[in-house]
Amino acid sequence: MAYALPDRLMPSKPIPPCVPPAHPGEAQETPSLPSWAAVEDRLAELAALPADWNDDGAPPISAIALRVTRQLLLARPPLVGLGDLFPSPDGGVLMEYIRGTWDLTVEVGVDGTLEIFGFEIGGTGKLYPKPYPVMDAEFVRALDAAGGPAWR
Amino acid sequence: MAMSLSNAEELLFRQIHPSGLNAGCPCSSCFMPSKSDNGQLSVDRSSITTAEGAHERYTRAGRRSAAVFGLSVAEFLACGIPCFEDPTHDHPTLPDNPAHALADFSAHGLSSRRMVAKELKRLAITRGRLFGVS
Repeated sequence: MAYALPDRLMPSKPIPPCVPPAHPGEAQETPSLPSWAAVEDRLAELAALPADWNDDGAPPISAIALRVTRQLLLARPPLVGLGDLFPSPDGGVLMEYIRGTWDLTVEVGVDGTLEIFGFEIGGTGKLYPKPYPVMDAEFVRALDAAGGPAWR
Repeated sequence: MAMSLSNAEELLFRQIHPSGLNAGCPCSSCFMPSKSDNGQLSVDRSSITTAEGAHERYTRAGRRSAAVFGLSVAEFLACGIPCFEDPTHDHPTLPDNPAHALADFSAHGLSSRRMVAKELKRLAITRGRLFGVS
């Protein structure tokens, strides 16, 4: 399933940092983008994968990984139009996307840790995996910088 | 000792599990050995079989594949991955497969493997799907 968005729906400038809910447990609003339903469908598909979904002993995708992936997409809606979501053989989620001239992956681990890595297509630039324990400001800065400077 | 594949232009077919395919594009993890693979990625040699033939043999053994993508020996080598012939015959768990070969990731750590897998995926997508189940 693809989540391509028309260019006219893409933000023209960087998105401000994600603002957490005013109260713990308060539901975040989902973007009113036509493709958000496709994201939810894809996350539901990943959530429904049984143990051994890859015929090689992979565990089910963890609820934490799915939650962090959803938070990430809510924090940076342009990713919805850029990325594909895949199950990770470790029980996490892989988001693979091209931004600018960079081919990038965000890997959300089974425990909700994040890593971003990738390479410059046709170039020599490489971004080696670096772990982030949680989706905090430091991770978001790395995400914004990778393939940047601005989300388009 | 396994013989390395010397024809740089030879294509090596990689089976893509249905879970690793989204909108027709494979995930980079499909181009990286799993934990049970001991650092060796299974592929099939185009000098011995076709993409369709490799898929047929693979799925006849009860395994699932939604598509076949391919990389040349040279492309693997450019990513630091040597390839070796590894025909299977009378193996206790594997079907006979004279075209079977291995792409050896053992010189790479996990971080490097993930980077290599991404580059291999990009090259494979550029070449395009060689066989697929509609």
